Amino acid sequence: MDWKTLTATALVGTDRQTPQLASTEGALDAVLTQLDWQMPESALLGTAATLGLYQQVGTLPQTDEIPFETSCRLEEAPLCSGVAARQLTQILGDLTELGGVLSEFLSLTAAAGQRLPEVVLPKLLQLGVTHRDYREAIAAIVGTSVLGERGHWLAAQNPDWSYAAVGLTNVSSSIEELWETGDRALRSDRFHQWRCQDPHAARTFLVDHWQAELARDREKLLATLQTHLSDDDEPFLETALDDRSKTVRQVAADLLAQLPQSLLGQRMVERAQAYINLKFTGSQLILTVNLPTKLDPSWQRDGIAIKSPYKGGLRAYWLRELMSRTPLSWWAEQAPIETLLEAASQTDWQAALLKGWATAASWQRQTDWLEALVHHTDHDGDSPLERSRLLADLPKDIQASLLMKRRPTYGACSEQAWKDWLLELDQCPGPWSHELGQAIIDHLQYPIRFNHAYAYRYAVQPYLKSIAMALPPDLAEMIRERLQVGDDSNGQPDWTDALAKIQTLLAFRQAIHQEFELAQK
Amino acid sequence: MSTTPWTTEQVLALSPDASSTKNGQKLAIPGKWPTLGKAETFLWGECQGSGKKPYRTQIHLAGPAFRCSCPSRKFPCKHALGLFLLLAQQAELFTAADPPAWVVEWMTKRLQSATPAQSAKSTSKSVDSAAQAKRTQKREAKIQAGLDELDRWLQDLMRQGLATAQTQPYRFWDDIAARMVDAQVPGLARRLRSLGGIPHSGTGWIDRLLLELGKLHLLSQAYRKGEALAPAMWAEVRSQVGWSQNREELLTLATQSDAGVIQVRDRWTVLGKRVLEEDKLRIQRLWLWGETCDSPALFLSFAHGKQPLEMPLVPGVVVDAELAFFPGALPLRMLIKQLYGTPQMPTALPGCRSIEMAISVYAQALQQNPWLERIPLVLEAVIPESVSDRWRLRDLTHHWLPLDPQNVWNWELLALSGGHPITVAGEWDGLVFYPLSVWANERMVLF
Repeated sequence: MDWKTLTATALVGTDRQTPQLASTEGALDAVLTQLDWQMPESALLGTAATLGLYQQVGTLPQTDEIPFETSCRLEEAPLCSGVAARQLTQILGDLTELGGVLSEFLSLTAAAGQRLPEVVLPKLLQLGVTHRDYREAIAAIVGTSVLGERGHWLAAQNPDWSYAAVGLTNVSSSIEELWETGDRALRSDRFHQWRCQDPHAARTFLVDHWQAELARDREKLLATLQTHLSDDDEPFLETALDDRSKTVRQVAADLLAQLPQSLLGQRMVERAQAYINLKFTGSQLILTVNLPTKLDPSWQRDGIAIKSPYKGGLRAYWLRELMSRTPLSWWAEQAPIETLLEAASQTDWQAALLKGWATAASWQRQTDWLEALVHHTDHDGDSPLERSRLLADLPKDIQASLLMKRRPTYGACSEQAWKDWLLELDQCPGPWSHELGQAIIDHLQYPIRFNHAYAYRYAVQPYLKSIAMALPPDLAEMIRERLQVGDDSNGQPDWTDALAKIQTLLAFRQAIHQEFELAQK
Repeated sequence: MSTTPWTTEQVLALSPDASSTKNGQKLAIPGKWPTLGKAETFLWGECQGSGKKPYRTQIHLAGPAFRCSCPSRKFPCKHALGLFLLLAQQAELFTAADPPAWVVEWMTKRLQSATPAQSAKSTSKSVDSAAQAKRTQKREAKIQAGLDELDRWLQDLMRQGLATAQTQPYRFWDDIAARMVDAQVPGLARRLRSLGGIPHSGTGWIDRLLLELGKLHLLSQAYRKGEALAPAMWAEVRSQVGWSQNREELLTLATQSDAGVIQVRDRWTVLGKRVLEEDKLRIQRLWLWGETCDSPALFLSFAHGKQPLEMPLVPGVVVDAELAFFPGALPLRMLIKQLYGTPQMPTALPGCRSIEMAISVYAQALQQNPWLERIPLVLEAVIPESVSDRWRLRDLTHHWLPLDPQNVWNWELLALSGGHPITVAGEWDGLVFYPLSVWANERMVLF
């Protein structure tokens, strides 16, 4: 009896079909004839065991001759150390506590020119798909040594990971094909990478393909030029001011406003000259604003809308927009900043002028203006400007010195002053200077020194994690010594816990930095 | 590679759960340990917790075994893990020192209990042999009644045919399984329970179901032959049916160098582990492969609920050890009789074979033990690939084995290979391969 007859009999049951002993013409006959064929069910089961095992033992592995996929090229970059690899595994295993360190870790690896062990790559690439928060950090290592040949090869095998599927070679080689076939998100990811690598070539490519793109794609791609924006981009941006799409025109105008040397900048200067009157009486500057009641269409072309998105006067809005887009270098030719700020305060237009200048200072990256505006907020309690926003655009050393100057002392200032300062601190990304870091550690000591600094504790608690992320990592020792809370008996277990957490986080960051410093030696 | 044979991955393999892993890693920094020391195969440290008194943590590397003064019920606790991780990552922190009194106490205990003969002898004496014989007799009667019931059930099934099997609820299989539990044949019960899934397993289900029923029939028939079977086969059949294997007895016989106990001293590589959950029971299979004997060994451990699983060896190490095998048609399951020296890092995986050769090893094993459920295989020079969303391992002669769809390491396999041949160790059950570890780029990677 062969296996096929056997299963057929088993399927219908021995009630309907009686199994018959039939020769297999082989060694099995000796076994099968020993079965009790007077008991059809037992004989059937016995045959199933015999034939089944016989087949199972004789099963050979299947073969398939199709060619193998192209294998990955050999690596050139050295592997990161075993310790570093474990640190990464630890981050990936505890994203709630350590997720913030991922981007720091990856950029240190990139700076060291090293690559990650192959086995962590799937988890990392998948993280970029499932957690948008980490996508940017992971996309930033695409094309670097960190993913290595293997990471890029692997990403090409899984459609979900195509955002990372660009080789270590130049992006430009693969972009033509991608442009035709790739989806929207992938194209814009890739174009952004290219802009980072080669701003010139990326823009030229965009100019060539501009006409064929849909409005929403044009908007997104044009916004990419923010990276490495330069005067070279101006001619193209100027033509984009006449684009069919309103949102594209706005993006172009906002980018041009960041290039004070542009034709747009000159046109803004002409408008400022026409509608703002500056006159010196002795050493005092009188500033008068004389805006038209109707907006010239040429203003719209340059990005100033007829309708205001804000509450308040329409002309105040126009003035603010004009100030945002007028080169500050022109103002500097008219009078010193302090004099201008003073003159502005004497007008009814102060808020519009200050807000406009603040935007211009940030767009045109004018440190002296930003600093002057910060000082202005120090002296004017009712200033319409947001100090923390101004601070965020300043270079780190100036940020640090401004924050140091204003740091509150326990017991000598209001609770609000604490909160404001912490908010400003939070706007300034790390790593902070040592001096600032030490000052912050001083502050964190207050709740230990003054047992009842509850208000302070509640104010600072939400910021602890970002503080631990921004402190220079070599302050880990100091924080351990100075924030030694000892046992829980002084009644601050939650504070003790919170401090222990930031100590752990900072110590972890320090360990990572040390590991890569070792690798550099 | 560091001087210590312990890697972080190996230490973390001992962790009872994810939160222990996390917390253990947080304690693996020198600042948490004001005192650290080592003496021979013992190391210890005092960990500053949130209380006034530090926790006293100790590890005996032969084993490894752990002890900590903290109140945690997890095993090993986060302190022991932290201390062990510190050893794996910064071994230089542990300087040889005279052990303090609290370490000496444990050392003495550990070194005494390391001679199993003494403890085993003392317990075997206390057993009342008359009462035991009575219990055994009672169980035998139950088992015979259970086998009769199973035979009737099998025959009914054959009379009616398997056509209706696909429409049967799981209860149909679970009921007979429950009756086998009552008859004290848990081995049969487990096989019967697993039948329920086969009718829903797609093409070929009828062939697979019929084969399994045939094997059950064979087992029931074999048990009735009793001691007429060869001793090894009788032992196999008894354990397949569900008689538990007595660990103490095995160790006692092994120390007496009983001829009935197979003992093999070799350099054993721990290929990996797999933990499965059945009801509330966790089962861990720790697979080893001997370098000289070129054959596998299995360390099984069971744990209920949150109890820790016994882990006498860490996956990814090579140990010089003498193993004592439980008797069986194909002795696989073993206990560690004696460890020699400290564990080493592997320089290659033992037992490597092409797919064709590995399958012939499996075929030979199946010939010895028809109820064999799985063996470990070490596949040499295979390339992982996905063909229409089905993952498999194929070698350069184009033979291939399907990967278990339940395994979650497909992309890791692909990443480690990069399209180049790698060595993969895993479990083979005749149908699918479940990867446990990989040898690639001169390193062993454990899943």
